[in-house]
Parts: sequence; C-alpha cells; structure tokens
Amino acid sequence: MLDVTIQFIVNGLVSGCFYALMAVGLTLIFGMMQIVNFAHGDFFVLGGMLTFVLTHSLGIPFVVAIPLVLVAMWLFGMAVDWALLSRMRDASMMSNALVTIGLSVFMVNTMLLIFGTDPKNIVTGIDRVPLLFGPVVITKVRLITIVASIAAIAVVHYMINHTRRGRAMRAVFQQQEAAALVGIPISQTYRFTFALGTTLAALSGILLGAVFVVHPTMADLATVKAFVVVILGGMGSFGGAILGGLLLGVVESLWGGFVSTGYMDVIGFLLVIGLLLVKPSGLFGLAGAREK
Amino acid sequence: MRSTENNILLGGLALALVLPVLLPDQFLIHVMIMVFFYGILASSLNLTVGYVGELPLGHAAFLGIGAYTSAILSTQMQVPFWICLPLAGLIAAVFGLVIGAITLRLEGHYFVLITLAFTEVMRLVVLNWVEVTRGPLGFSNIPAPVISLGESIRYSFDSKLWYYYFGLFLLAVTVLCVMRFARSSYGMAAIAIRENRRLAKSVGINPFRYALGTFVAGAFFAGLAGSFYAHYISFVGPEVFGFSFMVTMLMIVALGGKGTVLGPIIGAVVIGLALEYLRFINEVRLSAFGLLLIGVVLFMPNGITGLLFRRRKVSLSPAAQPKTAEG
Amino acid sequence: MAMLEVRNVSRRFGGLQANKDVSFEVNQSEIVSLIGPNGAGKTTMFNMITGFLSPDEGDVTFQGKSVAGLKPHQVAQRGIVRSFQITNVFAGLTVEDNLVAAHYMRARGGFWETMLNTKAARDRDSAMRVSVRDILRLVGLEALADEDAKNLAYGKLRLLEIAIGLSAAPRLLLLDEPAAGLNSEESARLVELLRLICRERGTTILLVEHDMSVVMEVSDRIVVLNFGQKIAEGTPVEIRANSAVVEAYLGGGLDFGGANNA
Repeated sequence: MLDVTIQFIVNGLVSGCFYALMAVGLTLIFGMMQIVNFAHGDFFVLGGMLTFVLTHSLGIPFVVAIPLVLVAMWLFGMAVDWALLSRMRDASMMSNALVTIGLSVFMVNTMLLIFGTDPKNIVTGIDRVPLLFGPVVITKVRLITIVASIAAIAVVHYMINHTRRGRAMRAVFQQQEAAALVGIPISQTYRFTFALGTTLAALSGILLGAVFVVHPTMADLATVKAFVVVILGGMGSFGGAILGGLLLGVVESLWGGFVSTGYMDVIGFLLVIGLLLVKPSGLFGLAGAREK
Repeated sequence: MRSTENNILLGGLALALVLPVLLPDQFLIHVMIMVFFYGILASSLNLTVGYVGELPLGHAAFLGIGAYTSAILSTQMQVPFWICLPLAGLIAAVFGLVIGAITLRLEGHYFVLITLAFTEVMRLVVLNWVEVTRGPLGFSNIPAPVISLGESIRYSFDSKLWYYYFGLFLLAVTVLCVMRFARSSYGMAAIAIRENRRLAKSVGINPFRYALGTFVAGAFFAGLAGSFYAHYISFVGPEVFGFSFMVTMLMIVALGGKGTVLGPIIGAVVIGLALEYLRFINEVRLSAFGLLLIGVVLFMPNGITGLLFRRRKVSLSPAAQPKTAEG
Repeated sequence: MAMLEVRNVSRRFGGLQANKDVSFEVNQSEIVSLIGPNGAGKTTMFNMITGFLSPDEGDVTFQGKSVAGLKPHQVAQRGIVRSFQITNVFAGLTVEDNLVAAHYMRARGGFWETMLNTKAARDRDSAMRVSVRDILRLVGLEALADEDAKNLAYGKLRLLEIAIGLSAAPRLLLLDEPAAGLNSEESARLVELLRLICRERGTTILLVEHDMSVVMEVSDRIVVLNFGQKIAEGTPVEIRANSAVVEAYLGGGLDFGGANNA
C-alpha cells in the first residue's frame, strides 16, 4: 500500500513538473502584465508539436531539436506580443482576454488543420528501460523531465534575480510608474516576459510529448489547469506556482490511483473553487477578493 | 440612437415574419432558427458582459443546464415541452444564483477563471455521471413539442416552420426584456457599476446585488435557449458544456457590439449565417474565427453597432438624436 | 441633535494611527470644513463616515442612527454622499448620463413596475430628467451635457463630481478637496456654488480642503486635525487666532495667507 502510494506520488511529481513549468510561465505573464493568457495551453502544445515534426519528419535528434524549438517559440512569443498585445497595453481586462481567446482559437484550429487530431509521441532516442529506486519505478525520460524542469526553473529564477532584465521585470512588477520614470523600457520588458512565459509553456509541452503524448485538443484543458495552479499558488507568486503545480500533480495522481480516473481532472477545479471561497488570496498570494 | 435601434429591430422582426414565405428554402429556415437561437444566447451573455462589464467565461454552463434539464425531463419523465422550457430557464437561473453568489465576490480576473472552472466541472460531471446524464452518449430523440387534448387529439409541432416562428417569438420576448432592462434604472445601475464601481457605491448602488441580478437573468435566458436547442436538434450531449459555444457567443457579442440591445442580434445574424453558409471552408472556418475575434477587438472594439452609431448615448432621455455614420 | 456625530473615532493601519479619538459634529444646513496638514487623517475620516472603512473604536451616527460599519452603498442610501480626492466620474458616459446614473436612488422602482414601464415608472423617469437638467444648470454644466465626461477640462470635471453628488439627493454631502487644482476664479465660483447648494437645497456640507481662502470664505465652522487628532474647532475667526493651529501649520502644513495651492 505504501509502495503504491509512493509510486503515485512520484508519478504525480512528474506531472507536477509539467504543471509547474506552465504555471511559472503563466504567473510571470499574469503577475507582470495583468493579462489572462488563454492561449497558454496552445503554446504548450505547439512546443510539443514542433519538436515532434523536427524529430519525426526531419530526423533531427531530440537533444538538438529542443533548443531549436525553444528559440523558435521565443521568437513567436515576441511576435505575438508585438503584433497583438502591445496594441492592447491600455485596454481593458476584457479586451485583453478576448484577444488571447481569439489567439487560442486560431492556434488550436490551425494546429488541428496541420497536425490532425492524432496524439503524437516524441521520439527521444532514450531507452525505455525503467529504473528502480527502492519501491519506485521510473523511466529515464521521466527522470530527465524532472531534471530539466528543475534546471529550467533554476535558470529563470537566476535570470529574474541576478540579471538586469530580471531586475527590470521585478521593478515593473512592483511599481510600474516608478520603473518607467527611471527609464526602464516597459513595453520591452513586457515583451520579454511574455516570450519567457510562453517558452516555458512550450518546454513543458516538449517534455510531455516525450513522456506521454501531445495533441491539439489538449490545449484548452492545459490552459485551464495552468490557471488552476496559478490561482492555487496565488497569482503572481513564483514559488506558489511551483508548489501549486507539484501539489496538483500529486493530488491528481493520488486521486486517479485510489479513487477513479474519470473525475481526475475535476479535482483541481474543485480545489480552486473551494480555495477561492475560503481564502480569496490563494495559498501564497495576492488579493483576489473585491474591495469592500 | 434609441429610435433608430427600435426601428431596425421592428424592421428585422417584420422581415423575419415574412421570410419563410418569400424564400421557402428549408436550409435557410434552419439557418435562421440557429440565428434566433444564437440571438437569445448572445443577448443573455451580453447582459453580464455588456452591461455589468464582467466576462463570465462559464456562461455556456447555463446553456448546458437548460438543455440537459429539458432533455432529461422530456425523455425520462415525459414532461411536456411547455413545462420543460420555463423549467429549464428557472433551473438555470437557480444555478446562476448559486454560482453568481459565489463568484461575483471575486475580482475580475478571478471571476473569469472560476466561472470557467465551474463549467469544466459540470462538463466532467455530465461526462462521467452516466446513470443520470448518459455520459458521452447524451440524450437523443428528444421529442418535439406536443399538444394533446384528451386521447384522440394530438398535434406534434415538429416542422421546421414551427420551430422558426417559436424561435422568433422567444427571441422577441428576450429582446423586449433586455430592452426594458437596459433602459430602466436597472440598466443604468449596471452600467454605472461597469464604468466606475466605487463611484456607483457612493451613489447608493449595491454592485453585488445588481451584478448578481443581471447574472441570474442571463442564466435564465441561456437556459431557455438551451431547452429550445435540445428540442430542435433533438440531441444533447456533453459538448453543450464545451468551449465552442462560448467562443461563438463571445464572437457574436464582440462583433455585434456589447452593451447594446441591437448588437447581439446583428452579431447573431452575421455569425449565424457565416457559420452555416461557410461550411464549405469548414477546416479553416474556425481558425478564421479566431482571427476575426482578434481583429474585432483590435479594430472594432465597439462592434458593428459602434460603427453604425458613432455617438453611443445610453441615456434614458428620449432627447437623444440618433447620429449615424453619415450624420 | 446634530445631523452627523463623530464620537471618539479611532483607526489604525498596522503601526500607523491614522485617527485617534476624534469627535465632532455637523449640524443641519451647516458648511463645515475639516482641515489639517497632509497625513492628518482627513480622508481616512471621510472613508469611515461613508463606509469605505470601519472605525476601530468609536461611533459615527447620522440623524440619530449609527452608520459605522455599514457598506458604502448603504451609507449612501441613508443620505450621505461623497466625492473622492482623485477625480472620479463615469468617464465613458456623457455628462448628462453621469447624472442620470447618479440619480439611481431617486429613479429606481419596483421590479414589475420597471419591467412593465407603468405610468408610475414613466412619471418617475420624467421627474428624474427634470432634476438632471436642474442640477446641470445649478452647477453650470448645462452646455456640456452631451460631452463625454472624459473630454472635460479639469475644472469642469470637479464641477461634475459635485453634480454627481447632488444627483444622489444627499442630506449630507462630503466633498474631498473640491478646490484642488482650481485657479482663483474657479475657486471663487466654487465657494458661491457651495453656498448656493446649502442655501437653496438645504444640503449640509462637510468638506476636506487645503485651500485656506476657500475654507475661510465658505465655512460656518472648521475642525482641525493634526497627526490623527482633533486639535481645534470653531468659527473661521476663532481658528485663525488659535495658536495651536498656527503652530501645526508652521510645522510643515499649509499656507494660511489666502493664496491658493497650485
């Protein structure tokens, strides 16, 4: 019983990595730009899809494909901000939400057109021999996922806290007007943040595609789940996003393992609804309740 | 603007009444039925989006609740359509009350997401609770409305034409209610909340109460639309809780012009016709939709009615002179 | 009985004591000014009177009934209407519609009455429209009725705020720095307007203000706060001569000489 539980927990941590990567990206975007990015799940899927195409159709090795796709997704994120979001800096929350919804609809349907509905699994060239750590069985790919996620988050954390860009981001996040006054380029910082956030989502998609499968119809659910994590962790909290992601992964895994797989996806939503009722500011975060 | 708006609506109604006689094409009639359906749905969404200024991404839930209520009552319990319809609206309204009471306390972004979460929960419940909802199979052969007087007389309203006129009737009722709402102190209060919540409070408006009331009204009409849909299409499945209806509704409201009575109607006509007549470009249709939504938000934030009526005066005073694009 | 009674009201924010044991009264048809250096706790006091904040201690009664702890819209429904320090109007609406929206409390009726547009509802509607025109005329914005609020010049915006306040049929009108940013001509007209409102409509006015010339001209009585406490109260003449007040201002407050703050 205990063994099974530990296995579920470890599986949950792996899923948690996917969630955490997506949620960190979304937190950066939401926390900084106050934009609810409904296309987040689409960037996630696109990352996976592009990697599949490179490895499957063009025969590029997995390890090489990853950085190529990340760069491409980075550029794409910048382009989206330039073409769409930069025009909406002063627009209402609703307008921004509608734009990202439109983007999401466009992306998901275009991907369906191009890639079809079949789930794609990315060939990584890594053998599928499971490793044994005590009672826990884990494949190399999943292990790599965990390592890669930790590495990516560490890189982002370093970037935010120890580089000039990162300092700019933090300044804009805390006090936009003051940041502008001292000459920090707000729009550029937003663009960088959006690109960073969506690229993290893409990385998550790449890893998921390697471990399981990716397909375009996952995008919507992925977006909503990412938001669930962000809300659980507190909108705008970096650490909260990570912990929230891992928590969701583990809870879903335990629920799916012990109770039923059918309602597995519901757990996250129920948690969020429950949480927002009791503590509108999330587990770690900033206020979500209306002013009096 | 009001008188012009009234005239356009009346003109549209007159045209719609005679359309099946002028152009008795079965496909067109089907398309128009869907247009009426979307018109009711979009008007219901517009109440919260356009007047209160919140974005309930979970609005499709009420459509689904109305549809399933009608489906279950009519197929499992032989409840006649004439009772199913208002009941569907009422039950959707009750859900609206509960969900709204919980979610409207939360700030804008949270409201958007949590209403979405509620809808997703419902979709998953409907998908999995097979005993009650038949899961992915849904309900088929939902009966058409029937009038029976005693054992011998039984008339079944199952012609397209009947659905056409009943749909038009439902739409007209919806529009009348929305009009009364918009032009009354309720509408003004909702707009005040949308424009400046704090200021609205300081002049005695209770934002929560108005937002909730509007939200519930929206849920009611969405429920009615859902019931109508269920009986017309005669099949209901978990996809009614899906995001595609939501996107269509948003498109219609955005394109037509949120916060006006006429907007959702115009939007429903344009999108409804496009959806059906552009089926031949089916694959790219939905992608194009996404681009269209982006385009509308970027370049036409007040929708078609915003283009037609340059001065959008919302006042209750009839002294407002309609200023058209040429004026 | 005084119309508004603030009794021993205190409020702190974490380590900061914004108001401490403040008591004063406002009588019917008076114009009272609440003055004091920046940070003296004036806006916090306003917030507590109007329900945007609750007092930690003490009570606020209006016409004999306690209003402390009520929600803002409930306070407004009792007859206390306020303006805000930073310009606050319905920017997306026309000037006229701003007032229509603010007439809410006078215009609303029963559910069925409204939905069926009965004669009673329509009469109420007409009366409301007349009231809107009257207030526009009183305040001097009649010519700008169809203009979008966001296009108004600053001075006109401040007038609009007062008009919005009046539309809500207040018994007590709270104005938060209505003269801020006004030039001397506009300030003089503001004084006139306030006097007119008080005289013709019988509206009681409580204002927070930094512009001493306005305060001295318009007030029946003045209440002085400093560091969250009341240090003086009296007529303009008494306050001018009060040494504690002068001291507070010399210590980094406002110009007493009558010139406006730009």
